[in-house]
Amino acid sequence: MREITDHPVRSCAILGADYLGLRPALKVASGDRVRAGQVLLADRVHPQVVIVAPMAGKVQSIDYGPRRGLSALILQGDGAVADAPAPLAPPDVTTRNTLRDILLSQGLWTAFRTRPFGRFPDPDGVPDALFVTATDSAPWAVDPRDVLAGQQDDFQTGVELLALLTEGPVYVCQSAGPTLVQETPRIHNAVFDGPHPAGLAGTHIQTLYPVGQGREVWTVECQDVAAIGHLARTGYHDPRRIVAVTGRGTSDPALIRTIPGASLRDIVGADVRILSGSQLTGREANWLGRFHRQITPLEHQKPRKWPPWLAHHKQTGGLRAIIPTAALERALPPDILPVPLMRALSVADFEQAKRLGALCLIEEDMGLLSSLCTSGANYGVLLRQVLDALEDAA
Amino acid sequence: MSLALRPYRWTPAGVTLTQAAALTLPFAAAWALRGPGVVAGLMVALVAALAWEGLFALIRKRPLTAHGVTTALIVAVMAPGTLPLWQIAVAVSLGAALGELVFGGRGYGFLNASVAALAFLVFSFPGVTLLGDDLWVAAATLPGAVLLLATGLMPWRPLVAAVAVVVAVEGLTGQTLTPVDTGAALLFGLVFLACDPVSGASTRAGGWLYGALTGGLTLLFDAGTGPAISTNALVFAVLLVSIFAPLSDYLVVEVNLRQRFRKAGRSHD
Repeated sequence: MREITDHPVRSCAILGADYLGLRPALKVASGDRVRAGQVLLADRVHPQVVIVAPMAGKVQSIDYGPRRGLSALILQGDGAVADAPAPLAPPDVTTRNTLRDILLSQGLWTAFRTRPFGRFPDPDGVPDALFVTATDSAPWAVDPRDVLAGQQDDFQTGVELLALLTEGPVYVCQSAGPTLVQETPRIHNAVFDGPHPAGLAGTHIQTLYPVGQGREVWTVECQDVAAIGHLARTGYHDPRRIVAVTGRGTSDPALIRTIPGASLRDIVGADVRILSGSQLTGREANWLGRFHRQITPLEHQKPRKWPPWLAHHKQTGGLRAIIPTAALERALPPDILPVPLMRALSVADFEQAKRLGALCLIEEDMGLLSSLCTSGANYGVLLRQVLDALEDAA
Repeated sequence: MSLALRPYRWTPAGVTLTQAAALTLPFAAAWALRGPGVVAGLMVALVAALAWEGLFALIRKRPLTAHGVTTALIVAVMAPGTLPLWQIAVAVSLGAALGELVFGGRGYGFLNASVAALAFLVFSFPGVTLLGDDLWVAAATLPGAVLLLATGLMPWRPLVAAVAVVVAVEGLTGQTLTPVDTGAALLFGLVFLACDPVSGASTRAGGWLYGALTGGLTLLFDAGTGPAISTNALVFAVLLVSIFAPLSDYLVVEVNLRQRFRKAGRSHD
């Protein structure tokens, strides 16, 4: 079993980028002291959907993004308040509604994301199926098995509870090995092994339960499921998650226990560029993303000077042709035709993209494709434009 | 822990450079076989192809590119040594401009510029018999083909499908041609003309269809011109099939949609 080190967090951030479509109604103001677990903001459209403080501290700043969306809410820990909130009595969860209310009040509802569109689900919605992602095939990723090793009971409980949220199947997607949960008529262990993108939820959904045609499934990451199980067993919502610091800049993946939104500078150091997430889909950031389980420090690179006549061949942006290479064939989930989809996305042909399976996908599914395509296009961004248009039309 | 993959992003320029590297050996073989006339042909073809490419870049205010290098190399290998150089210049100009540059350059069109140039050559100047079907050229093509396959810049399905169709039909019709002869006659053209990733089919199943059609049409166009398969027939087959490549992709997409919708329907029950 891998060693996991606890990482003290001095500051953390709630990032709007993690909650697509959230229109924040703030419950705190800049300078306020907050307890761990206190509600920081709610969604305007669904006021039950809240985001809670992962740690105690002081609200240092609140920045807005475009269209009054949240950019970042930064909490500064001051050590004055004990981190752990008073534990509740272990809740008695037997129905969908009690589970839903507990998840909503604890800020765990946003752990779920819908397919299509990759947004947090409507509290009144019922998914046709649930996908627990206990795989990770990104470069240098650590198998979530290693991370779940000490939390099997919590995970088992969490998966059993999830079955309350849907009338359809709950798929626990995992790498080959001992099964992670006990099967029931509705809880299934599904094995996904192989090179990236085998570990992405998009691949699992496309393989087991393709969406579209009015169907909606939800995805949730396995550590969030374990946290839900822990909450049900003990009444305590532990906001901490285990993330791996990996990449070419680091020798061995180090597992650390920290909270989502933690300052990456505190973890890795101040002198390097850091990706929150994997090398393929991570974003350069100062804060750990809500759904990111990997931190990738980038090697220090001197910007290379190319002679002007060669410079445009090396640029990453700009307009270049799509030349179908063999590697593209394996960059998307099976059954999704990469080149036709890339063409549909690059000319914003919404209907064709939808027909080709775009509704099964979100940005993370396009990471490998973007990194391999000759055009240099960011297909994640193109996909989101198409998804936004399809969502507006729906 | 998953494999630490190091994704390599090709650029169109890198693709062209690798294809040009793969073409050097066949070109050297043609030079050795036919003498310095091949080099003169290459020079003329290079000047014509790059001049048009530069002119289009200038007009469109786009960065200069040099994709015409592969067009010139392919034409130099396949044009007969007795051909007047001005004819090569005219054919390459038409091929590069109308086959590729009017669509926006390499990667934006649906034709291969060298196929267009060679077809123009045969259309415009009667009696031209294209080369590239020599055993030595074919042997020199092999390392380049391996390079392109290993780097993923050449789809292998069209190649296998075309060779399979030709060998099968010849076997059925009792032709005396051996598989080695057939392979030698077709290899250069198939690798560099038919298996061009841009003008070919862009789906896997489409690749099979595209390759099989190429093989079939080559035999059809070749009918009655003697035992060996002529390169002219292959060039015309590739020209026609690249026009149908988008259609084959379209069919593959439609079949894929049907399958996925059926799958979606079944697991819903």
